[in-house]
Amino acid sequence: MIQFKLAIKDILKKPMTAVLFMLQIFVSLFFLFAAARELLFSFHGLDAIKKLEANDSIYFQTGSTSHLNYSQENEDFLQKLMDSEKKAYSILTSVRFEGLENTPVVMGVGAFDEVFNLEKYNKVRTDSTDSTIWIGSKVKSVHVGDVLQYGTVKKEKSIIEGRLPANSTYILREAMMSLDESIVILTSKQKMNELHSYYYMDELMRNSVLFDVNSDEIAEYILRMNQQGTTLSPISFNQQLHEHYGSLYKNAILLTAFYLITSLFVFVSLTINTIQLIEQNLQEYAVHLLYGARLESIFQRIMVYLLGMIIPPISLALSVLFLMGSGLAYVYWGIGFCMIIPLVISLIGLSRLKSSNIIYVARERA
Amino acid sequence: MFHLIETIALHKKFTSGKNIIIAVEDVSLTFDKGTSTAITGPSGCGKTTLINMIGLLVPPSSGELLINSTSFSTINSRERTKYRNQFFGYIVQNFALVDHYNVYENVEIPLLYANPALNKKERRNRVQSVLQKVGILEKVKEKVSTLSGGQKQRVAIARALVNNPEVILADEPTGSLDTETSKEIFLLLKSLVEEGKTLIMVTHNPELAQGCEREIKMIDGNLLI
Repeated sequence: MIQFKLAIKDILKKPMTAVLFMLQIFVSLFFLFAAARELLFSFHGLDAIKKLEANDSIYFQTGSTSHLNYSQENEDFLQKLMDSEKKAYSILTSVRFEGLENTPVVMGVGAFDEVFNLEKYNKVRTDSTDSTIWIGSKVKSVHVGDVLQYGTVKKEKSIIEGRLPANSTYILREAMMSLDESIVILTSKQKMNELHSYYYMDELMRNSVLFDVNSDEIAEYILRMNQQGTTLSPISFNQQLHEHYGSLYKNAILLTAFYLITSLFVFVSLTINTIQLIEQNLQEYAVHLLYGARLESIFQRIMVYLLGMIIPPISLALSVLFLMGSGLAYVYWGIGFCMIIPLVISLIGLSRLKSSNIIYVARERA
Repeated sequence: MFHLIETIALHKKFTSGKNIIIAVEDVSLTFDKGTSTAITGPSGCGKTTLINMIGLLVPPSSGELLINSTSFSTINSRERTKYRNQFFGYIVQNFALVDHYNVYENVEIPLLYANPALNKKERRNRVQSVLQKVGILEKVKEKVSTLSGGQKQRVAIARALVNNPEVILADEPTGSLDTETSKEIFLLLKSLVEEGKTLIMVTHNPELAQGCEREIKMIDGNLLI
């Protein structure tokens, strides 16, 4: 308790220094966390891009859409491709839940989960007659455990299973999209037919992506979709990669560099400033050691002192980011910072004190 | 015969790069309760190292230190800290006061680590009593940075006495004081010996040394016989 009081006194001893120090940490950490957030988002997207690239994915430019003409044979073909062989997926974004018209919905059909690393969230993988509903990390209009009713020709109720990790992404044609603010339905083609019949079929065809397919399979797909009433022109993802995704790589590299520089700046300035603050108190610590304090007591005091200096700006930086809609992951980052930095720096301060002649420090700095 | 403190062939060497410096060489001494001893000698002769070894601030390289007939060669750091807090009272060269503390806060430091712990009221009574004794009670709330050299030394003495130690270790207690103030401070220290405290003092001042019951002269880490 005495060390706690002394540490608080240390902070209040030079209030202006404390405020400036806290301000510096706040600004640095805010930029650090913000850069990390952007970086994670980029990396999530790049993961998906790599997967699409590795699988030689094909997406389609839609030409004219004539009178839609669905056949069971073609439906079976699509179902086989998406559900059984997992060689295709599609994305529907026009679906909305009643009463939640302002909350975007992303329906991932077929191998969507596999491509965007959402397999573990998908019950459909074990039962293709099922659907799974998740929500993005920032969705506030509905909550985990809520029951949603959906379906066009047949209604079904499903419980929201949980939240996806922050920065979950998917790629729709040339754009990297976030799932953070969407309700996400992972479903199979079979289930989609059961609930929506041919509604949304046009969008399903327009947004379909094939992968691990040969040219014959692509030709067959185009032919069958043409028979359904949609003209599709294939576009190789890999051919478009540099044109459309080059900027993503570039951004990710720039962000990484920015993140590393910011991290370095934060760590160096934090360490230097903290050591300076400890140095200012070193004579006092030495006097306490001389008159009965143990090194453990001084360690406690430095820890409390540093926590007192670091916790307020970290909390503020996290609160601002949280209000801006970042996920809870940053709280853990913040807690990590709160614990690791003071611990490391306290040990540096303590080793400095341990290696010094305390009599010398006590008398020469007085 | 029982001695309060006994050093047996105390030896201390320091290493500086490839050089080995022998600061104290095989010093054997005894100190009895209620006596005053001055350790004198030229700068760098090992006086301060010797007093720091006796005060458990610096471990000897070899030799033995007995306090109340107990060997301190193998004692743990907790026990050493306890002795530093309660058995010894240090008066450090240049006062070693914490400038931004007031007189009360400086004198209170040893009490914060006293075992058993003291409550605030007990600490206040002890601080006030010792400040009265050294004649500086009226300055209790003043920042030490505003005090004169003599007043600072009185505060340092009060801090050394506040836990009622058996032994007072004083390193150049009058080193930065004028002649008149030096005499006052020495008289204060002598009065403590008369009360039964043991005084071991490092000094360059021959007058102060002569005022002690015993003078030990050192040169190049050795006792001058």
